[in-house]
Amino acid sequence: MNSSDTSETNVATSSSGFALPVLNQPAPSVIPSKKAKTESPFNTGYWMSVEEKLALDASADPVFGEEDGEFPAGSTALDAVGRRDFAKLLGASMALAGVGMSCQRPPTEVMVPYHKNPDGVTVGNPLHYATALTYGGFATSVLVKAREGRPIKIEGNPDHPAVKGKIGSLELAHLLQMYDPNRAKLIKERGGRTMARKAFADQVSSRLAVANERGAKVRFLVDPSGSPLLASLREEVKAKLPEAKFISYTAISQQNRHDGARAAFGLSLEPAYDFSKAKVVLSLDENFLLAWGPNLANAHGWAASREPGSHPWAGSSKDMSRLYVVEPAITVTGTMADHRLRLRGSQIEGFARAVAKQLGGALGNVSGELQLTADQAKYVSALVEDLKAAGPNALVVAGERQSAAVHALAFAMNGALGAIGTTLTLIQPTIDDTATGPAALRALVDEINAGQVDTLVITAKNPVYARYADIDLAGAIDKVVNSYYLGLFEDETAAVTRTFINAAHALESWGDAKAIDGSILIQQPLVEPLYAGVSEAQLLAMWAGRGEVKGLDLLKGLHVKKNGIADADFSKALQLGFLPASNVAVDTAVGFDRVAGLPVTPAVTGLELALVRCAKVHDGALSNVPWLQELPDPITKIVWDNALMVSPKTAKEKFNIEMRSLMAAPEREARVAVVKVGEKTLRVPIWIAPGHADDTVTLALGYGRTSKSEKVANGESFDDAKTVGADAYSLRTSTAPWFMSATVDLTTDLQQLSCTQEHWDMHDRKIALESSLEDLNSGHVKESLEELVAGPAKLTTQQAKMQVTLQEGVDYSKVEYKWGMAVDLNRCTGCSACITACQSENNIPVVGRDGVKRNREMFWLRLDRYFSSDLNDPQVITQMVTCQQCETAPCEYVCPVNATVHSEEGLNDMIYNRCIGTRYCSNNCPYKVRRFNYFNYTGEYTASQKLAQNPEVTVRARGVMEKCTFCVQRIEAARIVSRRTDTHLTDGAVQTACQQACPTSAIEFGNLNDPLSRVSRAHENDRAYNLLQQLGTRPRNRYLTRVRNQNPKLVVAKAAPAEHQEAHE
Amino acid sequence: MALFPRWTNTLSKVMGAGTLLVPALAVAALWYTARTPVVTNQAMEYEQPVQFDHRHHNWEQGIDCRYCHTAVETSASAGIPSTTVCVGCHGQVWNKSPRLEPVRDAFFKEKPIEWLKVHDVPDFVYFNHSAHVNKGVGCVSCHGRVDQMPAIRQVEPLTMQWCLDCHRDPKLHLRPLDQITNMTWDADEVAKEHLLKEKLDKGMDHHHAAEEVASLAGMMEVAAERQKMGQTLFDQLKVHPRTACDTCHR
Repeated sequence: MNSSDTSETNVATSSSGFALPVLNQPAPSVIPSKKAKTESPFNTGYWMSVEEKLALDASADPVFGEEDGEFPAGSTALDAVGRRDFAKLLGASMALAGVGMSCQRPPTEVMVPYHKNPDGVTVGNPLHYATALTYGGFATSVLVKAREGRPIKIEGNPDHPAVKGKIGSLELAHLLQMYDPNRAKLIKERGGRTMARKAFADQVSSRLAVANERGAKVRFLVDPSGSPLLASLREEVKAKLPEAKFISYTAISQQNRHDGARAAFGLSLEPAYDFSKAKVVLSLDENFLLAWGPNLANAHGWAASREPGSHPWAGSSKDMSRLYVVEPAITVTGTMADHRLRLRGSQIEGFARAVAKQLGGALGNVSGELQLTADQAKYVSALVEDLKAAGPNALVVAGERQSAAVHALAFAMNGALGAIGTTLTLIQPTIDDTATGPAALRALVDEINAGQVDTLVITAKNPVYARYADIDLAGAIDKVVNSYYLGLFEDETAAVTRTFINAAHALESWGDAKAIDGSILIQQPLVEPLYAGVSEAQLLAMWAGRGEVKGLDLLKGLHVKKNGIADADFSKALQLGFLPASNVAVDTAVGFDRVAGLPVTPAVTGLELALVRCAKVHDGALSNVPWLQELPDPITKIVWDNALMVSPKTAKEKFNIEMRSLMAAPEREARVAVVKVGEKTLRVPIWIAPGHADDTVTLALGYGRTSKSEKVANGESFDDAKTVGADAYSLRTSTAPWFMSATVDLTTDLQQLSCTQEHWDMHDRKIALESSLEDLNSGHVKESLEELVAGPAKLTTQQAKMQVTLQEGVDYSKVEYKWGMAVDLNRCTGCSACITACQSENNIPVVGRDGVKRNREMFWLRLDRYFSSDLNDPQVITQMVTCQQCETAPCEYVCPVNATVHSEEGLNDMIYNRCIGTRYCSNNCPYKVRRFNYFNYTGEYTASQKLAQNPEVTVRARGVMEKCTFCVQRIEAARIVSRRTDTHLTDGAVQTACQQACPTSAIEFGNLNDPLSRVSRAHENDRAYNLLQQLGTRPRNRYLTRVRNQNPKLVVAKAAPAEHQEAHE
Repeated sequence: MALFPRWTNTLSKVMGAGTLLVPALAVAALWYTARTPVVTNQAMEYEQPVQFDHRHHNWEQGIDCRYCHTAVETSASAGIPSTTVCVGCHGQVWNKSPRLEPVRDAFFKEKPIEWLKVHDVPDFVYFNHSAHVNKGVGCVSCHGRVDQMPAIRQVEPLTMQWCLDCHRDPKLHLRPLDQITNMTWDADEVAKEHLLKEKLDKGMDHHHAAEEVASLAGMMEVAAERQKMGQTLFDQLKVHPRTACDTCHR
């Protein structure tokens, strides 16, 4: 930044004393030292969007100039009200507010005590219950916090070894799904006739009797499951109806993984990874850091291996693991890669073959490898060398989109490297029926079309929507005489079935599940079903001829009566959440010849369309949860939509999108493209995604819902009658479920996408720091950070004093608790679990697509995603930014009503009832972490939505500022108990919601006055630094720099143009 | 001949003063109104679904507050007794009383009794009972002589000012933990007893000792003794009143 040089000198020599840079001028990136001995170890030249990158490259004036203002448009401006009108309104409302507020007696409320106080419930104190959530066949052990019998927050089960108290957004969202006002409330027959539950049970038993007599064919289309209860009930059904068959189906099937294992080992097995032991990891399109159930253990282990320090493989030297990722579109895993290779999805098999071949040995005769370019060849040889050197500490993982051959090759490579037994163990599949892909579904549809099925019971999650376009399930269902669908919503599947049964939510029903570590999770209800729903187990029990059975009786019938678990042990399992059992590693050998002989899947020719699991709504089953819809995508930061992602190069070459035109467009309007696969077409806005592979486009599944009842998913609730995203399933075929040849034609239409990418921009201030492992080990990072901290000391005493703080600092070293936070950028993957956890804990409303477009999102914490280096192949760093809880906070002294002040422990408190909404605080916050509540978002909650609110946190109304409080309600709750019992809060006694959720433990929180607390030690780490140290705000948050462990053989000389580095010199 | 008659001078002065005074008075009036018992709820009378009489239960029968308000020592909420608690006694006594008809009705229909909330702080205030009763603040300090109330009414203003008055200096409002639910415990009386005992121990006869305690100097001594008692309790119970906003607002 040329311009920043001048402002730096201004700051350093200014005699006015105020060190805060003049707004709208780029701030100094680091405190300048007159002669930096060496080059800064930190990466430079960050950009947040294509537009910004282009401006950087053109060395143009800063993109965010005078006219752009500090705040994004709409975030501060009032719409369509002139200054005079505003003044009039202001006067009138002030006068009315005064009268209204002081002369009105608050309305009388009622207190409703229990009829009989339930055992263990103390009114006002929360209780935690362990239960299980199952999604796509994967079960996660969770703790649910309940107040007076209503669940208010889902947390990971800290006792479960595969969860360790962590959680992803998907699991967190189940809470809001349970309270969803759009949920189906009745059992309905087609035509709208409702049916009582008893009548329904009777109907099933009479049908059962008829079916038994005739030997009729009953088919069950179910979710994949490893639940012992469901398995036993299926056996019972089969005993009753010998002709019955169960078909497992899920849109995002893991069948290729199992088939790959069958090819490699001759057995259908499942891999269980131990990333903590891995030194070198190769991910073949496997997004193993995407935060949700089965990945929690992976994320945890991987983060441990990334800690620069001593590891079993490294001996005493400071080392960390190295991650190679090969993928088409950037995922959170890709952002964490030390070396990421952009490759078309269908070429990854060829790539895997090339790697396997180069590994040689038993894999030497693998054929069908990809024709590598020079760069790719270099990449592969460096990778293979690294893998070989790591030997048993290497790990190759393959993604769910890849063919069985890729999985087999990955298993074989691990076998050849000796990794089986260390980083990889093989276990029996968690789910009972591994044939969850399209083949079984097609067989079912064929059977129906042949008229051989007279009853179809669907308990799978919305298979008519989450479908393959070439398998006409909807048409087939229509031909079945008796079709039943058990669902939470009257969705696309309900529209074609004869009888719809409203399901009980997982938080409302008894059941069990098998976790990926082999333990049996017990699913217990938190509440009575809100709408008298039926659980899957209960429905199966009806079909087994047992009529209406209570869920608990079913569960105890299996585990206590049949399996002989003592009642006391069952109670203990309920308390713990699971029956402890661990997977037995299957001892098996790779059949290398079988793997080498696997047929080659041909790569897609022409432009390739890649479909992908959405990082937010996954396959779409939870797309009616507004938390997930409004969650910014970890990479594109788009909310409420999916978009066709394309690399900048392809956009220019194939679609002739002139990059420069993007800079001119003030509004983010995306061109709408028509994607054509075979005869099917889909209109979808196009999004230029840096880092995307060339000649391929990516579209996420889970959008374009047409269900009438799900008003969030279909766009009615938040954006009148506009659909949310485009339905990628309509292009998906069973023969090419993930990668397919497509044509893309640009239309002239424009579509506005809401994207938080540049909201709350830090204007070029360097706040996310990253360096190489060498620079860390040589002490260069430490020196540079010290220089950054010591910078002001080099000024005169007077200047230094002025510079260090604006207000007189308070000494907080004597208070009992000095709360602080540390965020390790080396662990932060950008998975966004923290955002949803914060939203759930702190009653943060969603504002809808239009609100986000006007920059009015309410999240108390944001995840900044910065690109650096090349436009087409950038590096990515993600940074979680929340209120820094500055000790000398700039927000406080501008508040005219003392609505934000310090507690005696130095926390920056926000007092909503004092706030009059001037927004001066937000104006003066250098970190841009304060959010203004524009509308009465919370005022229109339905009765059930109100139940989802955390009673320990004020539900804010319109017109107040909000921000992160360090979960002060949790601090106070713990403090009151500690005072009562006369104890001191130990490290870990208070966890913030974000810290608790974070799958990689990137966030530490605790008492900085305790030198042994984890957060204190993190603050003393060599990599620790404050954001915008030079402002003298004394933040309580510290960040630990990101470290890239690059292979010296693949390091490219820093490509950033010289002028971008000057700011650091 | 002036353009304006003389009286307009006065008028302009009055208007000038009015321009300043009227808004000032209006603000003052609002300020005052907000603190009147009408707005703070102290003047409000409530007709509860059941004519529950604390005089009878607490004063006459001597039932401890915690018999019904069970959560008061462990939770933010003191807890409103469930219907089964009422029926626990009234299944045996007064089980035919027409006044208890609503209770029996609620019990047999398994429907909760909906009580009107008398002590109602705003939703953005997070008051915690357990933090107070475990640190020497008695029920009577905030709720008044409940044992004298035929129907519960709010005695104290429950304004933020009122809370802070105590939080800033709680010593005179503390009592030993065994007197928390005692409605009649009087720190003054206890202080007087202490002094009297002291004087008797010094060999003074009862009449003179009592006279001295009741004298003006004695009153000063009583006040000092109360301070001392408060300080002792403050230290013993490790009372740590906080006035930071996050104490009550979250």
